[in-house]
Amino acid sequence: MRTEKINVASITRIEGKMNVSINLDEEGNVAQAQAQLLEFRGFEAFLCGHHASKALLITPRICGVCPVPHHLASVKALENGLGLEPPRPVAMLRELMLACEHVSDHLLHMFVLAGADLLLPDLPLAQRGLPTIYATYPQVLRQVVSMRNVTQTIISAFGVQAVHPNAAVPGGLNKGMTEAERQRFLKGVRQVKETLLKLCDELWFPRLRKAMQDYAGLGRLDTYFLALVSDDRMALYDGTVRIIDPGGSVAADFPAGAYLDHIGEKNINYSYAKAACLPSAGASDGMYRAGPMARVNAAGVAGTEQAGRLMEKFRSGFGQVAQETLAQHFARYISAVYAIERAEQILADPGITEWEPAAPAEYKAGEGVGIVEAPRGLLIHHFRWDDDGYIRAANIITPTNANAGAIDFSLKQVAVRSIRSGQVDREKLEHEVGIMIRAYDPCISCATHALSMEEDLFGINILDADGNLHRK
Amino acid sequence: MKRKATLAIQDLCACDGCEVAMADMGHVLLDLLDDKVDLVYAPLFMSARDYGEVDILMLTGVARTEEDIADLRQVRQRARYIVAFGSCATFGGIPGLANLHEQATLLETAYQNAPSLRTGEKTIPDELLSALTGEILPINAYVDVDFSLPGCPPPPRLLADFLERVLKQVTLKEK
Ligand code: SF4
Repeated sequence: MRTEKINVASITRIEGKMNVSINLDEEGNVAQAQAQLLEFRGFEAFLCGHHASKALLITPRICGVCPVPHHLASVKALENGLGLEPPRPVAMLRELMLACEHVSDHLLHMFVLAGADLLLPDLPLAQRGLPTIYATYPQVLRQVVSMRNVTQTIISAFGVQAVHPNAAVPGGLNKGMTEAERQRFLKGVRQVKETLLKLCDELWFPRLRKAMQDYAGLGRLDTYFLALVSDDRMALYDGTVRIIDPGGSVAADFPAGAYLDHIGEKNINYSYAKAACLPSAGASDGMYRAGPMARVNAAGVAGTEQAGRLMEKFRSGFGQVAQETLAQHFARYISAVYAIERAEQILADPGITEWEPAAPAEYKAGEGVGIVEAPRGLLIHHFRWDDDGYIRAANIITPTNANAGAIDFSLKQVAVRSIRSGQVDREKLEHEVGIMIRAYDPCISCATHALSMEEDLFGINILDADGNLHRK
Repeated sequence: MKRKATLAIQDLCACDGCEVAMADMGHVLLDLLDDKVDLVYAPLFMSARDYGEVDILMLTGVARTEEDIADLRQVRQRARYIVAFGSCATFGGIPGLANLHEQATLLETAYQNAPSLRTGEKTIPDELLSALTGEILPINAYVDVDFSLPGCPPPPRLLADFLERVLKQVTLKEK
């Protein structure tokens, strides 16, 4: 069944392209809501036949918004299969790159992509975006740019270019950090921490609180959560994978290599994204979410000072396990603060400047899994290669695959608020769908890494019970 | 004061890294917005759904569907200068690697052979399938471009220099 489209709605400011289709039942009420991710690219297929070492350069191109976690998940997968363990300074510098990417990416989302809704709630939807934010809050945007400049420069210091990095090799990094750089970056990172906390205290957080009141309960649903933890603390680069059940208890802790025992995927016939699930808990019950809120829900404690303080505040508001969809914004703020504090901790250690070039890796037939926390959540790379090191099979599960199922459920819940007995409040619908979807911060390029079907940016289709376009 | 040049950034099948490189121009980008550039369309950064006629159109990514090609065929008259922005648009880039495989292989790998797929969950999505292009080509196969700026993505500084030049061209022609 191919659905037609009516009016393209303005759900922009997400990474990639998505349509929303809403099916009505006989009475004209919402029967089903579907997010259609409209890209397909075939990375798993075209990685095959390339030398495994090339995966490090190919996989970042899955996503220009979060290339570092793809780069690092790939190198960890190779090391896992080659039996290599990078020296401690290397692991720390990689974590530093990843932490900086989290900060850059969260800043972009907090102050521009979703930020437009928080900072310009009175402006008509179509006018919200970078130029109007800049026109209204020039100093704020200047500060955001200065902060991103620090974190992107740190990534570029090892990676040649922050997008797309070329930094890691199996067992090492192409380049180390000098003591002078370390001191300069440490100063920069401290400045970022200060600015971020101040800006959020004074402006961003009060706006979020207001939005959470205005849209209370929007898209709420109960799910499992999946995130990396390390000794019960939040973790980005290394740790065990933890499953939290909808009630907030730990359902499982497992190492990267065991992911196939816990995580499954199913195809969605209306979307190019596969939906990840936890098969042991059944299809829709096994729906899980990944991302900042999963990281906050999964960890017992943050492990850094300011993030810890914010996490207590978060828990006092939402309990042991937060399920409110809009709480994801708050969690993203915690995640940004955690990441900048981790960057500071790492840079404060003079030991990270000890660097030696890694010996070239020797390939024989092997297989490996690499898992890291991308800004949007748990990212899994899995490669198998032959005796000469050429990739024979690849599997990639991204955080937006994890959230695909949850987004559909949240959508239905949102649609019900503006559709009753065939009457559609279109303005409200488009507006709330956008607000809800951006809370997930989906990355369509990542979720559909697997072809690329392009259609309009974002459309909302409403179909009646016979599958015909509903126009009202 | 001189009129600002209007700029649209339209992405095809892309990774959005080219847009992020533009964001990474940082203060230079904001300076341009101050007095030289009127950004009218860039879906990653703003909600505007369309653009009318612009001075500069930057196209990123590759055409992956017949619909993309149809889109490309009608942008020429809407822009004074068209830029193939990034290696994807200029050469086909990393998504062009798909040319090495049959389309069926691409689909089967993703939707039937992935080890994490549950049994009984292996139907290839079809509800939306509109025709994929058989081959990925540089965008100048479909539309005349005035400038090509390769790089995956072009480094922010190069991008800044490039924009400076194109903007000069725009104002020069105005006199
Ligand atoms: S050229 Fe590179 S950075 Fe730009 S869209 Fe293509 S893959 Fe992404």
